[in-house]
Amino acid sequence: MAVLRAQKTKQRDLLDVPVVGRFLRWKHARTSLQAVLLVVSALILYDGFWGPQLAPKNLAGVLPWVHWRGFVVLALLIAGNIFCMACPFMLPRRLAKKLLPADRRWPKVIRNKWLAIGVLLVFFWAYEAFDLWASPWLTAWVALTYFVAAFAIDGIFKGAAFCKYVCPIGQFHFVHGMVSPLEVKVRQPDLCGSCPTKDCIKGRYAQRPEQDFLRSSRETTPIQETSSPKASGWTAKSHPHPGPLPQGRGGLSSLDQGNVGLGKAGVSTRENAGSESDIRHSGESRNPDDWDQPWKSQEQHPLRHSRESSPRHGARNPSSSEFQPQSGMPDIPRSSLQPAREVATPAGLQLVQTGCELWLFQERKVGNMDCTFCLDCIQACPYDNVGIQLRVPTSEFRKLDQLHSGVGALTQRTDLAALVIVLVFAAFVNAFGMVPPVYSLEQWLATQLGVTSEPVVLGVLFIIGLVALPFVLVTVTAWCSRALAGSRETLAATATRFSYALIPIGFGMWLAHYGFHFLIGALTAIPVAQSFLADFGVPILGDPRWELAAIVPESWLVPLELLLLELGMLVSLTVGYRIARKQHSSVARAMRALLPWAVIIVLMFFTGAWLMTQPMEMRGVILG
Amino acid sequence: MRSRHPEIMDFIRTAIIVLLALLSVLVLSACGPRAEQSGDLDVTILSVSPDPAAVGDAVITLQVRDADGKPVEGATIAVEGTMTHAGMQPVIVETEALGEGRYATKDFRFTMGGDWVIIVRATLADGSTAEQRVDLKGVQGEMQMDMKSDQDKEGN
Ligand code: SF4
Ligand code: SF4
Ligand SMILES: [Cu+2]
Repeated sequence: MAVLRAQKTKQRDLLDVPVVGRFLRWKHARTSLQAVLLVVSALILYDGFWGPQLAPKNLAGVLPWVHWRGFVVLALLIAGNIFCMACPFMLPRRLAKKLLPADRRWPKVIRNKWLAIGVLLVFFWAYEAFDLWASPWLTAWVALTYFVAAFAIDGIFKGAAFCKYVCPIGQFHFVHGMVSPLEVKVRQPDLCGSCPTKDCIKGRYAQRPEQDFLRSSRETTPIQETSSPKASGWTAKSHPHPGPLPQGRGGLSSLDQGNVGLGKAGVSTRENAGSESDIRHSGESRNPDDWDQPWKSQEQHPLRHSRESSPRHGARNPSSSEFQPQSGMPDIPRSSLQPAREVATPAGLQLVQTGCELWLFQERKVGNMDCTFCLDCIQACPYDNVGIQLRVPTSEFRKLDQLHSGVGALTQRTDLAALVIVLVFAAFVNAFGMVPPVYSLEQWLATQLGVTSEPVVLGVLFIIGLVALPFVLVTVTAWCSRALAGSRETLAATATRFSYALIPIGFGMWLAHYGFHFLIGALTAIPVAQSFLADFGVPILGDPRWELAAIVPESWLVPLELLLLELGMLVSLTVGYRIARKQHSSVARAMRALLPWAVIIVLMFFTGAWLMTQPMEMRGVILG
Repeated sequence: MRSRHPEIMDFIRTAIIVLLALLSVLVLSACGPRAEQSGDLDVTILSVSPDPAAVGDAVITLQVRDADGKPVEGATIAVEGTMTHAGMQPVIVETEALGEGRYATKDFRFTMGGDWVIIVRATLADGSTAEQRVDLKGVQGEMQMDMKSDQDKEGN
C-alpha cells in the first residue's frame, strides 16, 4: 500500500516558508503564541485593576485600544486570523475542557450567529456608553469576563462553541478574514477523498498504553475488539449522491446545526468532533443529524484504504460516527443515542490531537468563515495535507453559493448576512463616535426624547445606527436591485447575497480607523511600559519618554486612511459585480442588479471620507 | 513518559501556564497599586487662556503648593497635556515661574477638542520630584468655535 502524503504543490504555503513554517508546524506553536498573549493579558488585568486610572498611562488603556485593535486589522489585511491563532482566552479554556464535563450540545436555537450579533451590539454600545477606552478598570473587567465566559461556556458545551457562536472578536475575524490573503486549506483535495481516517475533523487517536487516572473512572468501553475497522465489519452507510444542493434548503440545515455543509462528501462531524473532551467522552455525541450525511460514492468510502496506510500512527479510531456498524451493533434509532457512545469509545485508544473544534471539515471547508487558524487540522492530518495557503484575497466571495463545511451556503445564511451588516455599519458608527457631530446629534436626541441618561440616548442611537438604519437601507436596496434586474429571488435572498459585497468597504473603514489609532499611538506603549516597570522599582527601561507616540508623520494619516477606504470601495464594487454576474448571465442585468448596491457602497465611501476629515474630539460625558 | 501520557502532559503544561499567569497577577497586586500620583503637591489651574479653553495655542497658569499649603518656589515644572483616550500625541511643555508658586506654560497647544488631563511634573529645589494631575474637561473643538463665531456674527 502506497503511503499517502501530500506532494509539494504549486500553491504558496506559509508552512513552506523557512522559519515561520517550521514554527507553525511545531506541536506547541499555538500554545507558545497563546502563552505570550496570556502574560500580556495578565499585565493588562493587573494594570487595569490596580494601575493609574488614566488610559494613556495604563497598559490596559494602551495595549488593547491602540495596539491590539490596530494589530488585528493589519494582520487580517496582510495575513489572516492571527489573533484567534494566538488567542489567550483559549488557554484557560483548555483546562476547562479537562476539568469540566464539556459534554452538552450547543442549543439548537442559537446554533447560528444571532447570539453573537447581540453580544456585538451590546459591546459597541457599552464601549461608548461607559467610555471603555477611557477606563482601564472597565477594560480589565471586559478582559476578565472574556476569560470567564470562554472557560464556562466551553466547559459546559462541546467543541469550540464559544468561538463559533458567542465570541464577538471571533466574529469580527471570521467576517473580515474573508478578505485576507491566507486560508487554512487542503493542499491536494483528491488526497482527502482517499483518506480513511479524516483526522482533521475527528482528531487523531493513538493506542493507549494503559489505564490512566484521568479517565479510568468515567468511561465505558464495552466493545474491545473494534480497534480495527475491518475486523469489526464496519462499513459506511451508503446513500445516493444527493446531487446539486437545492437552493432553498441547503442552508437551512447549516443554520440550525453547526456541522452541516459536509454535504456531498459527508464526513459527518460529531458535534464535538475531535474536541478535547473526547478524551473522556469520545463518540458519545453522535449527532442524530449526522446520520443523514451521505457518502459521495462507494469509492469515497473511508475504509477503502486500510488503516496501515496512515504513515504517522498505527492505531486508528474506528468509531467515527459516519460508519454504521454492520454487525456488532444494531442500527441506531435516531431517538436513542446511547448505544453510540459505547461503541464509539474504543478501548486502548486515546485522542492525541483534536480535530477541528469548529466543525470545519477540510475536504469541504471553503474560505475563512469560522476558522480560528488554530492549526489543529494541520497537526491532525497524518498526510501533511493541510496548509496555510496564499490565495487571492476575496476569492472566497466567488463561492457564496457553495456549501461550506460547518457553515453551509453563505447565500442561505441570513444570520451571517446580518452579522456582516452590523459589522459594516459598526465600522462607521464606531468612527462617528469620535467626531464632534455625534455630540450635537446626542444632544438633539436627548432633547427630543426628554432623557438625560447618556447610556439610554446612546442605546437609541445604536439601535438606529446598527439595526434600524441598516435594515431599512439594505431592504430598500435589495428591493431596487431585484426590481431593476427582474430577479425572481426573494427579497431576503437578494439582501443576503449582496450583503457580503459590503464587507470590503466596512473593512476599509475599520482599517482606516484602527490603523489611524495604531499609527498615531504605536510608540505610546514604550513610556507606559517604562513607567510600569519604574513603579515597581525596576526602571530598567529608563525614565518614561512620554513624548513618544506616532510612528508616521501626522500628515500621512488622512491620505492613508482615504486610500484604505478607497481600496475598500473598489473591492466592494468588484465583489458586488461578481456576485451579480454569478446570478445573472447577462452583463446588463448584472449591472442593473448591482446598481443600487453600488450606490450604497459609494455613499459609504463618502460617509467614511467625511468622518475622516472631521476634527477628532474625545469626550467622555457629553450630556449635561 | 511524555509520549505515553500526552494528555496528562498537555494538561499539566496548560495548568502551569495558566497558574503562572494568575500568579503574576497576584504577585503584582501584592506589590500594591501603581502610583496614581506622587509627592505631596497641591496643583490647581488658576486660569486657561483663551477662556473657555479651545483648540489652538493656550496658556495654562497653575498654582502649586506643598503639603502645608505654602507656595512652591524655584521648582522646575513640566506640563503634559493628554487626552483621556490612549495613544494620542501628548503636548509636553515647560513653564516659567511667575512667583508666589504660580507657573505659566510656554508654547502649550490644545491639539483637539474634548476632555484633557493636565499632568504636572515638578522637580523641586531639593531635587525631589512630584507628579499631580488635574482634569480640564470640555476643551472646545473647532466645530463649537465655528458655531460660536457664527453666533457672534449674528449678534453683531
Ligand atoms: S473566536 Fe475563539 S480564538 Fe477567536 S478570539 Fe474568540 S475566543 Fe479567541
Ligand atoms: S482546525 Fe478548524 S478552526 Fe482550526 S485551523 Fe483547522 S479549519 Fe481552522
Ligand atoms: Cu477612534
